[in-house]
Amino acid sequence: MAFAPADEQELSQVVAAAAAEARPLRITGSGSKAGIGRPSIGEELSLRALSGVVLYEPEELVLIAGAATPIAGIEALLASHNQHLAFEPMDCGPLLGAGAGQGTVGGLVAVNASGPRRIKAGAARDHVLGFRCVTGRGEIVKSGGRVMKNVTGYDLSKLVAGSFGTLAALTQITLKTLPAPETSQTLVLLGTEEQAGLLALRKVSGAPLEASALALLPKGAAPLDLGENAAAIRLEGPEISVAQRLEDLRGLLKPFGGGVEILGGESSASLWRALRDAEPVASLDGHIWRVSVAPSDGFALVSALKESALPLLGYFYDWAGGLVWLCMADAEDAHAKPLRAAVDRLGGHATLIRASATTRAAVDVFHPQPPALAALSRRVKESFDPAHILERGRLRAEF
Amino acid sequence: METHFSLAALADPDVAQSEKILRACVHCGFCTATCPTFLLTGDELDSPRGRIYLIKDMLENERPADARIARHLDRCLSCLSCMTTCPSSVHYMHLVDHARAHVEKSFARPLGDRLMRGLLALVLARPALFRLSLRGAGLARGLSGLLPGRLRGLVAMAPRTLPEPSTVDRPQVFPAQGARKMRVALLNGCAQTVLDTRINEATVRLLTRLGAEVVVAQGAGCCGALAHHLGKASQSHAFARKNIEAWTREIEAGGLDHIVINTSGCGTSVKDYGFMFRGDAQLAEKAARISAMARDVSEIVAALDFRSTGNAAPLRIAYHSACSLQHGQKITQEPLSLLKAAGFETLSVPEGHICCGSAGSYNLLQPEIATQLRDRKLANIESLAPQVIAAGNLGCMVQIGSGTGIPVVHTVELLDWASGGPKPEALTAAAGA
Ligand SMILES: Cc1cc2nc3c(=O)[nH]c(=O)nc-3n(C[C@H](O)[C@H](O)[C@H](O)COP(=O)(O)OP(=O)(O)OC[C@H]3O[C@@H](n4cnc5c(N)ncnc54)[C@H](O)[C@@H]3O)c2cc1C
Ligand code: SF4
Ligand code: SF4
Repeated sequence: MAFAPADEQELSQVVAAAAAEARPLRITGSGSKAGIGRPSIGEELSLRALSGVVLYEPEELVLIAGAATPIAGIEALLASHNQHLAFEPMDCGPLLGAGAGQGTVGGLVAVNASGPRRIKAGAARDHVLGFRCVTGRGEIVKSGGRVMKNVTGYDLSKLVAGSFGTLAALTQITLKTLPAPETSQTLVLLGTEEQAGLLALRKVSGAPLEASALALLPKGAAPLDLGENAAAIRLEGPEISVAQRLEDLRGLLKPFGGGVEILGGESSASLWRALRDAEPVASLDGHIWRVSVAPSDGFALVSALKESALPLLGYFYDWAGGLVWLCMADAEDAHAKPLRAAVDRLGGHATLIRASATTRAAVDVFHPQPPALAALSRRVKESFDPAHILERGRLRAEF
Repeated sequence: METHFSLAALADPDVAQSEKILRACVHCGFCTATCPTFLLTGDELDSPRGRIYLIKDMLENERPADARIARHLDRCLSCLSCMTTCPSSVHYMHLVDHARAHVEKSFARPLGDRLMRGLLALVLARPALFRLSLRGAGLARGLSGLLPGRLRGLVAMAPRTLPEPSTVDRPQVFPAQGARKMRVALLNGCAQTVLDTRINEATVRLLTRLGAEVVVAQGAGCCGALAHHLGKASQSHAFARKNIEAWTREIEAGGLDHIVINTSGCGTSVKDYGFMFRGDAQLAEKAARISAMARDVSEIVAALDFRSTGNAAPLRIAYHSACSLQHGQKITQEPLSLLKAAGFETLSVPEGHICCGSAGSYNLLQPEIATQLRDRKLANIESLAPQVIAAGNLGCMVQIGSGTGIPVVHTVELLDWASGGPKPEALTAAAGA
């Protein structure tokens, strides 16, 4: 069976009925991110009817939309008012081969999407002002409001963002919108050693330059190979301020040697869009991992993988080295054990982003949680969805 | 031509190959007269002979490329008109391919150019991304964002509305109607599955009607030509390898008589796979077999006993002979005879040997020369006052169509119509307008 309730009321009836019989449900917006996470089991519960912008008040920096509203449409609407979603949500389409521009705002919150600007602006979690949802009990819940401050009770937004639909079916989301920067320029430091390039990025991140993105594209990152290691630093804001900071940045980078080139306008935008959507690894044939580590450990991780026998096909760094995208030649277990061992030694998290459904069912897609945290997750899950019907198996095999 | 390569340099099989080609050139300069870029700029360095000298000098002295060499090689359309003209059989294509790969490796283009070429190779070869980059209207994150400045030419190139992806382009088998005469694999070109899905649909209808079983093989895709012309050898080899493996699996599983290609630019490249992988112990034999099996769709239709049912109106058709067909694959007669057999009046275009300026991604990278060539081509076509323009290559269709109101259709759409298929949509639309 597949359900496509017409409104929140109907949705709550569908969920309550399923909960009574402990029938699992698989929530979809457009289905663009179905390839992430463990394959969940259950009848399809499509929220596609809950689509459309309910309210947009640019002066108040707030937008309310049904959960299945396409992000592309929202971004276009914001752009027409010179605003944007500052957390720069990644479009997973190209990576997962599902076609680009299909994601919905509910999916964006469910995976806690973010992009290169995360180092400055945070992730979806930090921009969700409130939401409405139907919990796994079938109850309609409203959380948060239209302003960032939320003094009453818990901030449930922080909980549902990144929950992959395991806690509740989101029906409506209130997002904070922000003015888009007036100009955006990218300085690219070319031809240094990889480690030096990453050191430069960390130095920039520690300096008062307010860089809004710091990534390193290594030489040979086919097909987006720029021919040499390229450390890219994005500065945004009013024109005068960007120009001033660019000068300061040049000074700061002098000791690193290497060439310096500036990309403006469209070139800068397309570079960051490509990095945001993980293009340098997306077109390679293989399993794709997204690893979070401390920025100072990114290089150590890649070096360890290179020294090991793991078949690393390509990689690049975002977030000044704190996020490493990896592509490894296909293997039934996606090389999860040795990779996680390398990541654990540094204290990070590895998520398997692209692999066949069989592989995603066989290995831990998300980094295993330490026992205390796992117990906490379980208690949270049970308070929202005691019958374990929402996205069963999506995050972890046991619920 | 006398050459002075060091023995060490000649140990590289690519260099050895190029040396052989260079030696064949007798400097007669016949080729310059038929080279489109020389026609426009009048600069010897923008002619085949000039480029051959530049390449020789670069390779012989084992020098890295510089901005001047890159500029003149970038301006070459790879139309291969020079190869048709050359009395001495100089294989200019393999020479310029090698030189381009050398430029890509040894010359640092300005960063913006590198990024643009990288994105272009990425976007054009990946249907999903390409679709997005063209879906400008209404989407702020459409093409204006995805592509850097000059690449926005893609917008001009895109039809106003993009067709939905066609089910024809998914891996599957289309059985032959009546007795099966042959079994062929169809290459579903990358950009074509986004820009104009009707061409593959017409091809499948036409071929199955004529008795061919048509396979869209799992795992086959972009032929790699776009990356190849950008000098991105490893990327183009990866695409080619996938196709070779996919079709080889198909040969071993269900058997194949031919690989059919209805985008002649891709056809030239598939027919060259054997050469590309000549030094690859694992793939050389398979690649050579695939190349030997590759055919332009017009060759297959001609072999299949095409008959008109009198279905189509006897329109006046200007047939534009794509460079990749006439110079790259030396196919000139088949499409014309087929169109005649289909009941159309075919007109021959003056200066038919000169390129329309499309040339893969050339019209995006060298818009000025490309537009001059397009306008020259259109003046020649329009002098015939045709009702329809036909061509066997999507790139040419888009390029020519961007400057005229005369409908441009693929040859197979007309042949499909004449033998019982639907009237090409472009003609219905034009008649209605
Ligand atoms: C009931 C429930 C159960 C869950 N079970 C699991 C589970 O078993 N395993 C699991 O992985 N997720 C689990 N999650 C989801 C998890 O909480 C995240 O929300 C999820 O991984 C989404 O990723 P993200 O984009 O938030 O990742 P991120 O926010 O990028 O973070 C992923 C992890 O990396 C860490 N991190 C981020 N940046 C850095 C940095 N620079 N240096 C070092 N560390 C960094 C974060 O602290 C976080 O722990 C569960 C969620 C719920 C609601
Ligand atoms: S391929 Fe075409 S453009 Fe290039 S040199 Fe030959 S004739 Fe001239
Ligand atoms: S026509 Fe052939 S032999 Fe003559 S110059 Fe051109 S390439 Fe050389």
